Amino acid sequence: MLSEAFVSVLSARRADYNAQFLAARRAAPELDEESFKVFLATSVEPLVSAVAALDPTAVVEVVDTAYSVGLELLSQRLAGPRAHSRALDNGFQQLFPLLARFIARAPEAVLPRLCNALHQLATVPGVRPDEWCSALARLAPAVQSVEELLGLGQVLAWLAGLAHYRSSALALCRSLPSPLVLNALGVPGAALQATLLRLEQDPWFVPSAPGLGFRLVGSVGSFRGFGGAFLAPPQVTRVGQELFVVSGDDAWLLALDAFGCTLHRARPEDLVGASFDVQNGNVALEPTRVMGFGKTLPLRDTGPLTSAVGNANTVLFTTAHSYAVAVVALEGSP
Amino acid sequence: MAIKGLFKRLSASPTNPGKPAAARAFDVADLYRGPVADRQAAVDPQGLPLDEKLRQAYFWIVNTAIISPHYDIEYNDAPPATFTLGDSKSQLTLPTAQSYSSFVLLPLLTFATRRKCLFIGGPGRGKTASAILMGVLAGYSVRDVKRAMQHGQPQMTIADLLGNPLPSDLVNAKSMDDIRIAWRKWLSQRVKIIDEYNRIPTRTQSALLTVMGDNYAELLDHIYECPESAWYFTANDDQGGGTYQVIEALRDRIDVVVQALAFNSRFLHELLLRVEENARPEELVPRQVIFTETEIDQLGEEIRAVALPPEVRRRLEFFSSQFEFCEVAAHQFEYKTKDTVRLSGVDWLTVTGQDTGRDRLKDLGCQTKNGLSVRALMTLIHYAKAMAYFRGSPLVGLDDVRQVLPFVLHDKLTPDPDAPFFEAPGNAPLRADRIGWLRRLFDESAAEYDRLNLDREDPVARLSEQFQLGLTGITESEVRSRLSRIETLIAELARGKKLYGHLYDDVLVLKYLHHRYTNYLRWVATQ
Repeated sequence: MLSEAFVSVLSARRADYNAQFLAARRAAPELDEESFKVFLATSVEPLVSAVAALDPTAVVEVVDTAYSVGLELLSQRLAGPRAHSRALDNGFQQLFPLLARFIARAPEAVLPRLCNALHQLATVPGVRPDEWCSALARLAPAVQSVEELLGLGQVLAWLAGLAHYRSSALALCRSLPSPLVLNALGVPGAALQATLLRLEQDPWFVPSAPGLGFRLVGSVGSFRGFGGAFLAPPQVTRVGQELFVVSGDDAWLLALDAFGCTLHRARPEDLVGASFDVQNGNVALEPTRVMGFGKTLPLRDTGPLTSAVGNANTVLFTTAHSYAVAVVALEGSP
Repeated sequence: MAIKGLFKRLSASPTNPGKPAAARAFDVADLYRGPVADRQAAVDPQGLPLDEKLRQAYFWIVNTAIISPHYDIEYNDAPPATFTLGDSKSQLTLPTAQSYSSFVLLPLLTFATRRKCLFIGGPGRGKTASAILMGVLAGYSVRDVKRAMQHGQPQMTIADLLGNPLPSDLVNAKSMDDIRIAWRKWLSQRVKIIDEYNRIPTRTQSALLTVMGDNYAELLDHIYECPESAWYFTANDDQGGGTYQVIEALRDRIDVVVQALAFNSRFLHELLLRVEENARPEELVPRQVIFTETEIDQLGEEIRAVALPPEVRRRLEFFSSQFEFCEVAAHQFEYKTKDTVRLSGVDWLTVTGQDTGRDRLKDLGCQTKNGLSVRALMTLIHYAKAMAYFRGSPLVGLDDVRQVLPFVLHDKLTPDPDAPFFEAPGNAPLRADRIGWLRRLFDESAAEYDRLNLDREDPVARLSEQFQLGLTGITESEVRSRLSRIETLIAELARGKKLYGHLYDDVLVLKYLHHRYTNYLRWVATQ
């Protein structure tokens, strides 16, 4: 059931919208009229109702933007009943109404970007889009402007698992209001500069749990047949401080920290000068345990070690009976 | 609204994904890039590199504005699949790297380098429409571009082209300085379009030549300085079929020639859409691909900064050295050129008939009636740099030269249709296919360069490099040693007996070096 505000805009701009739909379908014959109707009724409607309640004068522009964004998304089967994932529909239905005051203020600046962010969060393996949505919804009431909202979204995306954005997100933290950043990091009462400094020095530092230290973080990747990235048993290596995984003819750069891990295709030239050693001499690896910093971490026995490598903060290793790369976080300086 | 959505769409993803990144850098700003076009970023494309903007413009034109499914500028980063079709055993290649349509790309490179492009082809093939698009890319409205376009016609006078003296001033003026001129508005535009230029009377062509060549217009002792501009000419027939013969100097100032290829009937649905939607792409050019004057200036600077590596330059030198040499043209070495024959007015067939010593099939120089001018070579360098820039490369590659060369030399290198090469089996179509012939000429030159192993063994280049280091502090004995090396090298070259274009250039360089060292030796003796 469409709201009165939505129906009035659709009726008033019917000819334009119909023509837009036809033009989009010429470019993407897969675009289905019924699916698009469902998308408008179930996904766009909650946003339009929220905007109408907040600022009726913004409804036309919001519907215009949502309509054209919807055409782009459904043309690529990224939203609507025939989409491969529900992430964008969930965003429209649950998150965007909560951000209605920002979308109403600048729909063209906000809506496409939020959709792109959600798409990226939903398609990178291991990332937590739900966590991003709930954090953004929780912190949005304290946000003053569209720019702040978009900046907060970027910081939260890093914290939701897009580890490769760590450096630039940390730089962004310095330009956002301190209370907002500290709330995003889960330490509302902490000192921002000291926290950021520690985060910059230690990728395994978690502000809300500072004492975690030397630990087995988990594993990365798995056999491609089970939805993972690796076609052959992987091996690890490093070039300077960058860590790489090589599997068959393929290689990946690993971006990893306390909040997540992402794999990025590496080029052959990225691996020039690769070394295969554990940089930190305090760490000793055995098939069933890792020792270092006065602790012993037990490991599940998955066969003899096949490769091990470590930079200043992290040790990676692989074993004969697993397609996963095990990750050990080293003790950072307090 | 619908048409806006359809025709104003730009590529959201990078247009040159294969471009090698200098270093991997992850930017959290990328979070907001993805399958949905960022309308805000599109309105304010600050920070978008100009080469990317140029590519955006190219892809908008080929995907939306001009229906040109002809990817005749082929690049490969892996061996391409090729197929042989038809009785004539025509080769169809499926390129493996990003390839381009010359009909769109060359005019766009002309726009970026502010040079001169001639569109040729039958009526109604989009020549004028393409030229208008280039005007719109420079920020002019379609109306302004159309009004400024000069339409060649047999009654076109110099006044029609340049402007008129004010009638009241003509009556009252005491001197020429008192006469004010109402200059034509098109002279001030940064994109100049001359439609059907071969219909302009010869006298008016001369006035046009001054504007083209020297960038100013002159009328009654008054001068109008024109801004740097990109020029577009159209002609239905490039072989003198217009109302007037185009004067040679004017033709020579045209930098590239692009042919409008035939419409592919499989794309009729695109035409249908335009008819039904009453769409005129030139009126829907997205703001993001419109260049400001400053941006066009910057484009030119960035293109000039693209480096031409010595190994590519050397191959270009080798190619250009093939054509000017004509052994039977003169006795004196320096005058053994085709230009000597041309200036003398001696019949070409008489000259070629005397040239019996060499293998005229193998010698590339025998395929042409002329050599390459300095202007042609400079134009070639400009376009090769523009091509590399467009592809996102800081260096000109041999492929870049190979791809732009046929369009630059289209009207510059005149084939000799009576040459044995064109009589050889399978080569007859190359008499009509100027682009194919020039590309093959370059390929054969490159193959000969490889055969002679000039990348590794080029003693003339070594001697030139040695000379380039300067003469300061060189001792008399060293100079004598170098002179001896030059003489030995000339003697070695003479031992081969046959003289080809590249050897002719080498011998003249050796003579030049010998003379410079001889002069230096005389100076050293006086110290």
